[in-house]
Amino acid sequence: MTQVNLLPPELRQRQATRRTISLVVLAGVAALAAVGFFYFLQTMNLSRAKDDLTAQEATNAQIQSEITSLQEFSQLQEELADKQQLVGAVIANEVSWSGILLDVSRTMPGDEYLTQLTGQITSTATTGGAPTVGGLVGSISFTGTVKEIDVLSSWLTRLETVKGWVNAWANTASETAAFSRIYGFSAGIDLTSDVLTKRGRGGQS
Amino acid sequence: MKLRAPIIAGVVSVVAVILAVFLLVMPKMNDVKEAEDEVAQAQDLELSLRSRLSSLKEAERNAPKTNKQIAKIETQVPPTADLPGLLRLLREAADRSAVDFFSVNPGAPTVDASGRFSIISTSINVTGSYFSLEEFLYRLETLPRVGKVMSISVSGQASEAAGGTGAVNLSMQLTAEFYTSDTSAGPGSEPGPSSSTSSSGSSGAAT
Repeated sequence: MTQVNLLPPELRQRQATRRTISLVVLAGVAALAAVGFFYFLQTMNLSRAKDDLTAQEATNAQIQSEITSLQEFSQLQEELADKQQLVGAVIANEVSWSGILLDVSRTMPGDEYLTQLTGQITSTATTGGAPTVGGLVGSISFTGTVKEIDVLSSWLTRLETVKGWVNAWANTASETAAFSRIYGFSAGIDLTSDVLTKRGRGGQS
Repeated sequence: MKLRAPIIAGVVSVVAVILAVFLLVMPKMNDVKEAEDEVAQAQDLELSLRSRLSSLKEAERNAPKTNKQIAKIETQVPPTADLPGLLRLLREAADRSAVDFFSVNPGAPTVDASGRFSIISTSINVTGSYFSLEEFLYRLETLPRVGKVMSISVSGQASEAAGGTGAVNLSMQLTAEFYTSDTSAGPGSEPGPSSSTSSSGSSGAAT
């Protein structure tokens, strides 16, 4: 059986064109619908993000208010740090002179006595807190009398065995009378930072 | 001619879709991204705030200890010159070390070069035995108030003149520094501690 389309070719053509247009428009509408759906999703995302932001800001505000209420303790810590720094500054270069006197007595030989002992430490104010030359923090000078010059020599050697005592030096050694073998002398040593107390070196007591 | 209408429909559809993407979707995506960035920033801020809060809570827990430390430091370096207290401490040190003679000359406080504290340079003379002087120095170094002996001079005295016992009597002159956080201390100064040195529970006497 042979089918015969009796529609004129123009009508068939028009129908085909209309179908194509419909398909194109349908595809366009589908694409627009997809875009619309994506837009909707983004709107939802935005809404959720804004809610999150609001919640986060509320949390932050609450923490901030707690911080504000505890601020006094921060100031207390700062005050302590400031005062610790102050004590560290005033106590820098502290020397234990009682210990030094003990060390002097330990090094003194029997055939020698001192008539004068003078010591000083460098003020941190004069150095502006800067390290002194060669790490020296002070000096001690001695005046005394000794029997035999060898005793004086030995004593100078012994002075340098004390930790932090360096540059032992005799300025004068003169016999008090001819052939007496008794000498008046003046001597001295420098003190290094090794003689500083623990807190004088920067460690708190 | 036959394809013109579908092409026009297609072009219109494509243009409509592109316009919708550029005019609606992309601005919205930007808004979402900005909002998410803000959330991320707020979350970062929360972390740093929590860290700060944690350290503050720690500071709150340690507050009694901190106050004790501050009180101790204010004893070491009082907020006022507190000369009466200093004189009492020195006299007590002299009494306990059994020195024979004790004299003290406190100098006027001078502000340190840093401007943070004042120095009270004090000359002290004591006489006594070697052990008394050594003990006095030790007590001076262990006073509750920080004192730093800057110079020392020890010399012998004629012992026979003091009884003829043969015991060596020594004389010691020393210069010690004491400190106050009051940068306006001493005669003619503004009374009370310096305003910068806020004190918590200070009991020092004002100059």
